[in-house]
Amino acid sequence: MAAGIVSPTLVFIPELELIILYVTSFSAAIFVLYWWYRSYRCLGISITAILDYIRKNWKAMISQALSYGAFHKKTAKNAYAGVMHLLIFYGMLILFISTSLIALSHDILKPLFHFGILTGTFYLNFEVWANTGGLMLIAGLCMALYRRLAKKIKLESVFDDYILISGLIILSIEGFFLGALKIALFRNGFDIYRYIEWYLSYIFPAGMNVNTAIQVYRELWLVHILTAFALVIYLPFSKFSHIALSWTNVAIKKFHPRGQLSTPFLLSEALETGNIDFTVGAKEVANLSTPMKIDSLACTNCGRCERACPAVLSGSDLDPRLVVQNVKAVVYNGKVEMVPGILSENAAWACTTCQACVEECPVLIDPHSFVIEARRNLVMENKISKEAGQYFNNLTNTQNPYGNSPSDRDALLKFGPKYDSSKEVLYWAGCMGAFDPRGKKIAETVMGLLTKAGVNFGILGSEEKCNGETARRMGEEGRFQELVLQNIDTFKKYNVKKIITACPHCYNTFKNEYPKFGLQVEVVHHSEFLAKLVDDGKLKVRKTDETVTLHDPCYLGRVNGEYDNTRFIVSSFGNLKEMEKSRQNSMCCGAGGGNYWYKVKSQDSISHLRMQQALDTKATKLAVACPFCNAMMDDASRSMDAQNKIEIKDISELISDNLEN
Amino acid sequence: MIYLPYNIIVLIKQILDIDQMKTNQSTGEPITEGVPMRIENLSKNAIEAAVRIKEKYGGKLTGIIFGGEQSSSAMKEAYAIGVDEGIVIKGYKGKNPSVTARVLSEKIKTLPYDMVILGNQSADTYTGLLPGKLSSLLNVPLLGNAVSIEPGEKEVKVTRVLEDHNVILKGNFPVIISVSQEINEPRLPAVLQIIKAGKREIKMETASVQDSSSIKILSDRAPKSERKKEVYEEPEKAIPVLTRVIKEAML
Ligand code: SF4
Ligand code: SF4
Repeated sequence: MAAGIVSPTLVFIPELELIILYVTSFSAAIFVLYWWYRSYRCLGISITAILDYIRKNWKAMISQALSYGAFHKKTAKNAYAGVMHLLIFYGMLILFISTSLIALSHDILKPLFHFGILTGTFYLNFEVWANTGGLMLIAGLCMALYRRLAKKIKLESVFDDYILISGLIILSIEGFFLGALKIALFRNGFDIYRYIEWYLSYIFPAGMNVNTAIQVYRELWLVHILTAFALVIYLPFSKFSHIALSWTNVAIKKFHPRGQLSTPFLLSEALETGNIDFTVGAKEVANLSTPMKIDSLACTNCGRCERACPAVLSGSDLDPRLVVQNVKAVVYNGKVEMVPGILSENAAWACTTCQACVEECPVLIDPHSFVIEARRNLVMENKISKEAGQYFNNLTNTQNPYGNSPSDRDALLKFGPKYDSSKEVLYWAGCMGAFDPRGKKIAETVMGLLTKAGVNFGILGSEEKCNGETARRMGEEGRFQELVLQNIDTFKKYNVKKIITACPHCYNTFKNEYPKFGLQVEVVHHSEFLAKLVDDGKLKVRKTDETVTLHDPCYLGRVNGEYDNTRFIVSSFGNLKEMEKSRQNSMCCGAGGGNYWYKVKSQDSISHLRMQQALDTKATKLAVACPFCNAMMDDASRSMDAQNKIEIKDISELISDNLEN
Repeated sequence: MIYLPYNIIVLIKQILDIDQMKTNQSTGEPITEGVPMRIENLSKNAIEAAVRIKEKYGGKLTGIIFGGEQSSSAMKEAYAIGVDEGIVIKGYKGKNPSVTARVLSEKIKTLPYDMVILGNQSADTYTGLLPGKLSSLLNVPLLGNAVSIEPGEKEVKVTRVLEDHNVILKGNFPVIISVSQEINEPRLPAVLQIIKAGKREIKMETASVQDSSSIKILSDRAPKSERKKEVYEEPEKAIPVLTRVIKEAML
C-alpha cells in the first residue's frame, strides 16, 4: 500500500484562504448565537429560565424531541412529505456530523495533539456515510423543489423557499465536485469508498494539468465556503429558522392533554383573595404567552393546518396558517390587535375547535389556541353576537344553553333512577340529552341499554348543570368556571366515582378540564361503556349485512385518541365502510366551539361537506357518537335531500336496533 | 348653556326572573320561591343606551335602583356594563307606581342631571306608569318610547315609535327619556367583569317615602290553558293537522 489510509488535509489551500475560513466561520457563529439570544430576549425568556426549565423537564423533552423531531412523527403522516423530510433532515445531520469530525480532526486534534481520528476503517466508513448523507440531502431537496414546481398540492411557497432549496443543492453538488476533483488528482484505491465522488471523478480528463486542477480546486473551495456561510447567515431570516426554533418548540411544548385549554385565572381563588387584576385573553399580540410566541416563530408556513381546517374548507375567512403567520410577522413588537389585526371577528368565531390543525402541525404548534385567546378578549370587551350573548345569558339564568327551566331536566327520571350513593355509575345526560328531542331519544336508549345489561346507574335530573365546555371554548372563562364549581360540588355531595357521558364534549371536559379544578373521577363515553357491555356478552347483537359508515367526533377521536370503541360496535353488527377522512383525519361536523349556537359567514356549510363524504361511501347508515354531530348531520341530510339515502343513528341506537332479544 | 358632557341618571328595576317562574298546576298561583332575580330587560336597554351616550360624548352615569338588600347584585351587573356610580334605595314593596315615582323623584331632585333614562315599562306588572308620573313630579318633559336618542349641545332628539309611524321629538335639557326594547341590543358583561365591578362601592339608602298602598291585587292566577300536547314526528302527518287547526281558528 502506497499511503496509509488517512483523510486528505486541506493541502492546496493557501493560508490566506484558511484565514478567510476561520474569520467567516467565527463571525457567522457569533451572528447566529446573537440572533438566537435576541429572539429569546425579545420574548422575555431569560437564560436562567431556560436552564431551569431544562433541568426540570429534560427527560420528557428528549423523548418528545426525538419522536416528533428526529422521527418526524407527524410529517410522516403524508408519505411523500415524510420521506422528503427524513432525507433532508438526516442528510443534513450526517453532513453536520461529518463536517464536525473533520473540524475536530484537522483543526483541533492535529495542530494541538498531532494525531487525527479520520484514519483506517473508521475513515472509510466515514466516507461512505458522508457520501450517503450528501446524496440523501440532494434527493430530499429535489423532492422539495419538485413538490413546489409541480404544484401537486397547494403550498404557500415564497421566494425564501427557492433560495434555500437551490442554495443547499448547489452547496451539496459543490461538495461532491470538490471531492471528485481531489480523487482525480491523487487517485488512491481506497477512495472508492467515496463512491459518488469516485465515479464523478471520471468526468475530469485524466491528463489534466495538475496546476490547473489545483487552481480550479482552490476557487471551487472558496466558492463552497462562501456559499455555506451565506446560507448560515441567511438561515435565521428564512423559513429554516424553524430548524432551531421548532426543535426548541417540540422540546419545551407543555405536557398537557390536548383537550385541556389554558386556565387564565382561577375563579375560586379570585373570589377568595379578591385579587382580580389580571388580563384575560389577548387584545394585542404582545399579550400572548411566551410559549405561544415561540409557537408562532416555529411555524414553517407549511400549510398543513390550513389544508385540514374545516373553516377553510367551508370558505370562511379563518385560516389557521395565516393566524400563526400573522402573529409571527409582528411577534417582537407585538403592538398589533388580535382582532382585526391578526384575524377578523368573523374568523375568530368560525373556529370549531376541532383541533385538526393541532393534529396536523409537524412542529406541535397549536394554531387554535390563538383563536381562543382572541375570543377571550372579545368576550371581555363585550364584542359578541346576539346569539352568543343569548347563549351566555341562558347559561347564567338557567344553567343550560336553551334557557329552558332547569326543572325540565327531571323529565328524564322516567327512564332512569335518581342517582344516590348506592349507585355505581352516574349517567350524565348533558343538555342535549335533557332538552334536544333527538338527544333525549338517545339518552333514553342508552338508559334502556344500561338497564337491560343490569348496570347499577343513576342520573342527576335537575341537579345536572351544563358543564361549561362551550362557554370556555367561546372564551367566557368566568361562566365556565362558575359551572365547574357548581357541578363539582354536586359530584362531591354524592361522592361520584364514575361518570358515563352521552356527549364527547362532556366527556372531554370532565376528563381533561375538571381535574384542574379538583375533580377526580373515572370518566367514560357511552361508546366505550357500551362496547364493553357488548364485548362481555351482556348485550348481544346480531349480525346484519348493513353497510355502515362512521363519523368520528373530534372530541372523542382526535382530541382523546379514541377510535376503536365506535368501530368495534359498528363491526359487531354491520360492515364498516370508512369515509375518506376518518380517525385522526376525520372532518368536523361544524358544531364545535360554539358554532352550533351561532352563525358565521362562510360559503358552504361544514356539515354539508361532511354529509357529502358520508354519502360518497354509499353506506345506508351513518353512525355517530355525539348528539351535536347527530343534529348537524341530520340537518345537512334534510337540506341536501338525502334522508332516504342514509339514516343517521347514534352508536347506542344501532346496538339497540340490533339486539338479539 | 352647553350641557356636554352629560350627567345621566339611569333608573334600573330588578324583577323576579319570570321566565323561570312556574305556576302551581292546580291553583294557577305563581310560585315565587327560589326564583332568581334579574335586571328587567328594558332596564338593560336603558343602561345600554346611557352607556353608549357616555362612550360617545363623555359624562357621568348614575344608576338608581329602588329595591332591597338583594339589589346590589343587579347594581354590580350595571357597573360591569358601564354605570359609574350606583345608589340602591331599600324599601321597595312593589305594586304601586305612585310610591315608586315619589321615592325616585325625591332622590333625583338631589342629583345634578341632564337626562333621566329608564325603560318604558317592566315585565312584572306592565303598568307603564312610572315615566309619566316622574315627569309630572319632577316637572320635566318626557320623551317616551324612544328607539333612538341623539343628544346635542342644548337639546336632545328622540325617535319615538308609534303603531304605524315614527315621530321625531326634540326637547331641551333636562329631559326624561323612556326607551323601548328596539333601541339597542344590551351588551352582556363577562362574569369576570361583574366580579371586578363588584368591588366598587354601592351607596345603600333607605326610602324616605312610606308605602301607603292604595292598590290591591285582586288575582294573580295564571289563566288556564289546556294543551293537547300532540307530537308529530313526520312532517307529512303534521301538516294536514296544522292546516286544519289554523283554518278552524280563523273561522
Ligand atoms: S381547530 Fe379546527 S376549525 Fe379551528 S383553526 Fe384548527 S382546524 Fe380550523
Ligand atoms: S402552524 Fe404548523 S401546520 Fe400550520 S403552517 Fe405553521 S407549521 Fe405548518
